[in-house]
Formats: sequence, C-alpha cells, structure tokens
Amino acid sequence: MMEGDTTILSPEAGYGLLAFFSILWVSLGLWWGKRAKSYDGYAVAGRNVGLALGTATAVATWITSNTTMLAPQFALQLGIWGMLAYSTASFGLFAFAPMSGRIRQLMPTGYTAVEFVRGRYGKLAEVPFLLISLFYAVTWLISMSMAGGKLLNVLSGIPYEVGMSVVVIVCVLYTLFGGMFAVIGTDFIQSLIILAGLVLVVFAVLWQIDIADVHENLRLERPMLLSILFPAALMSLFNNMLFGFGEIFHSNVWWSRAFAMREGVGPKAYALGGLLWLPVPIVAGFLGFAAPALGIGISQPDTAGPLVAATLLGTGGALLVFVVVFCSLASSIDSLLAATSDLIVNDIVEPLFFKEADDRRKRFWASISIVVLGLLAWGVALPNIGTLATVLFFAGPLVGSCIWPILGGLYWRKASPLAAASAMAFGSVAGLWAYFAIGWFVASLVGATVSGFVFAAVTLVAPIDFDFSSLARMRASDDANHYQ
Amino acid sequence: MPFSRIGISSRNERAVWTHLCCACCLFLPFFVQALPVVAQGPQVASASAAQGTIAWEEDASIVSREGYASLIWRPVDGAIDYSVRDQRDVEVYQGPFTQAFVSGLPDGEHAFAVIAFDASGSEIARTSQPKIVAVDHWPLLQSLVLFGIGLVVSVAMTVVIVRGATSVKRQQMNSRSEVME
Repeated sequence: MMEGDTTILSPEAGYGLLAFFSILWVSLGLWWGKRAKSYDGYAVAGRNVGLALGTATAVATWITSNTTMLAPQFALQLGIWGMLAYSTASFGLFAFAPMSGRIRQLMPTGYTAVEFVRGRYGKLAEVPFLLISLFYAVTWLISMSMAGGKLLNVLSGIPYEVGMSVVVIVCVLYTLFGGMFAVIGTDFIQSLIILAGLVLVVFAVLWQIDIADVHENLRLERPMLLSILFPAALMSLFNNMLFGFGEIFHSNVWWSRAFAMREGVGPKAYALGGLLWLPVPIVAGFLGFAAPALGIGISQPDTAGPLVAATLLGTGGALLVFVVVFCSLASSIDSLLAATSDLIVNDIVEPLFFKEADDRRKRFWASISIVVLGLLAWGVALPNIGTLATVLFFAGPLVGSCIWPILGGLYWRKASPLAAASAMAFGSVAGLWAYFAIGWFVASLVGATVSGFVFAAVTLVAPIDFDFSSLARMRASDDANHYQ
Repeated sequence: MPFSRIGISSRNERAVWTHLCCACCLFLPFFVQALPVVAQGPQVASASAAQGTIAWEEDASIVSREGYASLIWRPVDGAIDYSVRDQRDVEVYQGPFTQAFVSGLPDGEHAFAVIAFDASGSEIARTSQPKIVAVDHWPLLQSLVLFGIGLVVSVAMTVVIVRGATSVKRQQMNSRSEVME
C-alpha cells in the first residue's frame, strides 16, 4: 500500500475527513429515516420529491467516481473525441426526461423498471431484463466500491481495504436507516459539494494553466489526441452515448427516482440534471490533457484527474478532491443500494415468496437486501481485481441491448414480448462479440444496433395490441397477462 | 512531478523499497486483464540493479490499435525515480512508479527507454533494450462506418422519444378536453 509521504494528502487528514463525512451521512440517514414511516416512504420517498431535490439527485447520482476518474482517462486515451464521448452520457438524462413523465403516468404506484417489463412484456422478457439489471447494478456497485478504496489510497495513503470498507459500510448504514429519503437528501448536499468543488477546480486550473501550452504539448507529443480522424475515438463517441442511454433507460436507479418525484417534476428535473452534468466530464477530461503539459507522470490513466487537480491546488486542492471524490462515491453507492434493494424486494422476493407482502415485511426484506448487497460488493471488491473501465464496460453491450425494448415498451402498442426478449438476447450476444473482437469502445454501439434491428423486425412480423392502461392496474390485479 | 513535490525524497533505501513494492502491489493488479504480469521476486530486481540494467516486465513488443500503451518494468533496488524517454529522448514520464502510460501515438513503431535514478539524482540503471510499441490504428473506413451507424441509431432513438412524448401529450390534451365537454 502507499504510505503517507508518497501521497497528496496525509493519512491523518484522510482519516479525519473520512470520519467527519461518515458521521455526517449516517446521522443524516438516521434523521431522514424517521420520515420513512411506510414502505412507499422508504422505497420511493413518499412519491413527493420536488424539483430541487429531484435535480440534485440526478446530478449527484450521475457524477460517480468514474466521472472524475474515467473522463480524464478517456481524454488521455482517446483525445478530444474521448472527452466529448464521455460528456454525451448527459444526453441519456435529456432523453430520459420525457420518459420519466411517461413512466409516472403509466405506473403511478410502481417501484421498479423490472415491474414495468413484467407488466408490459410478461415473463419472457422479464427474466433476461432482470438478469441484465442485476448484473449491471452489482457490477456498478462493485466498481464504485473498488474506486473508493483505490482513490482514498491514491489520495491519502489510507490502505485500500480500509478505505473501501469504510465507504461501503457508511453507505450501507445510512441507506439502511433512511431509505430513499436519506439517499435523495444526502444526494442534495453531495451534489452541492461536488459542483462547488468542481467550479473551484476549474478556476484554479484555468488560473495556473495556459491552454495554448497544453495544446502545443499535445500537438507535438501526443498528436493523435487532437486528431479529428482518430479511428478508435470516432468509434467510441456514439458507443459511449448509447452506453449512457442504456444505463439510464434500464437501470432502476433512474426509474426509482422517476417514481419518487412528484407528478410533473421528473421531466424538468432530469433535463436540468443533464444540463448541470454536461460540463463535468469536459472539466475532468481537461485535467487529463493537462497532465502531460505539466510534466505529471501518469502511471494509471484513471488517476490522472485527481492527481492533476491535487498537484495544481496543493493541500487545499487535495482536501477538495478528497471530499468531492468521497461525495461522488457515496451518492452513487447509496442510489444503487436503494434501487437494487427495491428490485430484489419487488421483483424477486415478493413474486416468489409472498403474493402480496405488507409494508412491514417489504421494509424488512429491503433492509436485508441492502445489507446483503453491501456484503457482496465488499467481498468482491476486497481482492481488488480488474481495471475500472474493464469491469464497467463489460456491462455496456448488455445495457445497450435494453434501450429499444424499454423505448418501444413505453411508446409502441405493437411491441411484443418476443421482440423485447429476442432484442435483448441478440443485442447482448452481438455486443459481447464486438467487445472481444474489436474493443470496449464499440460494444454498446453494436449491442444497441443489433437489438434495434431485431426489435423492429420481430415487432413488424408479430405485432400485438397492448393496452397501456393495464400497467396502472397492475398492482391491484396482480401479475396476470397484461399483453394480448 | 507530483510525487517529487510531495516528498518522496526519503534517502532511506529500505523505505524507498517499501514505497516501490507498495506501489506495485497497488497498481499492477489493475492491469491484470490488459497486460498479464509475470510474478517476480525481489532477488530479480537486485540482480538487475547490480548489472545496471532495467528489465521490462515482458520482453515482447506491444501492439496497439488505439495508440496507447502501458509500459511496465521491474523495480530497481535503490531507485526512487524513473524517467521514460522516447526515441527522440523526450521525457514522456517521470515518477516513482514502475509503470508509465503513453498515449496519442500515431501509426508506426515507437521506442521507449527507462532510466532509474537514486536519491541523489544520479543515474543507477537503464534499460538495455528499448520497448517497441507498434501502433496500427483501426481502419478509418471501419471507424467512419461505425460512427455513421451510431449517428443513425441515436437519431432514430431521439425521433422515437420526441414523437412518443408528443403523441402522449396530444392524447392527454384530447382526453382533458373531452372531460371538459
């Protein structure tokens, strides 16, 4: 492990900050937890979240530690196109804005994305969708936990195992106590800290770096990073955009927020969240470009952003980076824990073991799920295996193949269960093939494209006539066949 | 030089060795899938240092289709700083870790050498053979075709969402006006 004298912040300062924010988040979780009197309160914050909290939670959840680590990595690996490619993930929030209104309208008492797929397409599509959702959620959770351990270690020398364990335990505790109220409440504070921190970093970096120098250094030493015809980067642009679409469209993290927001709030909150998020990867990506010009030796491209920011800003900057990183980690991990526990309770435990579970029982199982997910993430993250990008992008083709089944399911009456299931299956297989045959930077693109063709073809050949109003009646009438 | 600024200037060799080992423990596992790493013992590094040469972690050249690569070499006893230089003798990395990331390379063969320095800044070892990174970017036509496909899929998706949202809004307005009537 790294020691204090090789890091940008002393371990003592790191432990101090870690302790302060751990106590703050857990206390807030306990306080907000008092408001969660019913399962609706615990799982979807009483379905009454307003615009400010809704926007903040969208921004905070989407600014993950991957944003601060992978955006500079993209810039360093794939240049200008790579930086832009990462920022296109905000388009997913823009695209989901109108969809969130539609989701709220179709399922006013819904909880999860899988519930929608079950009601819209039946078991045939529910099973692959549930598997993909769980795989993605667990992969993201593990990658966030690993990122927590690595970043705290790189920044302050706190041993990987200790940092990772603290991040996971704190997030599990406050999500466990406060449910969605705590998740959205802490997201609000975390988003303010993250955005304020990033604005400060931008000004400090622009104050100290001459953009012309950065450009000149790249032109001479790393010319492909500025090339408009950089082949891998060109391929990655829409791949990343579609990965973002797939992540947001299918993930219960975003659906649970759509259910939690007051009627009419979702579209505005997601659009505003996208606008606030858009510049973040560009700022973070610029830090990646600045590294070579500043003579900062990069061993690991995913640590370039925090290293550059902390190096330029000294101890104050290192403290800032540490806090921003911890907030961005917590805001994503808590969301994943809450949303995935909803999924486990409503789509696995309740349908399999209870016909209609009451509030008390659902709340109990939600708590168990949060603890089990935390333990799973901790156990898998502990050996610290695999690169961040590799782990995360493996899910890319799978989520890319869910885009069209979700879109078609929300807006097209004719979309059939067979179309949705085959689109997910063929899209996933083709995307995974592209992942191994070409690279991660085309996997989601291939997955989404093949899935789209299959979905359209099967819908044309075997259409159905779905009654959208049946989705609203789903909870009352159990899970009968809603498609004809 | 972030790590020089923040004080890796310890002159205690044992502490330096600990730093290097810890850095390797931390960073090398990240690249298990990208660049398989061969296990090594400390005696290998000592032998290298005694000969004044630095051994690459793997002897083979690196082939890259994306123009980036990670160069990994074995630690040298007594070294606290490494410098990686390309064939023009331009420094592309300086730092305490035994790994450097280079990117933005155009098509062609690129050679890199590593030099190790001790606490006093004196050169104590260097690689005897350069590491060759052979860059052969993906065909531009393939990239442009995939770029075009991505554009078409994204536009199609946007059209579906906009049309869907518009039609839902229209239906809601119609049903509202029916209720009012």
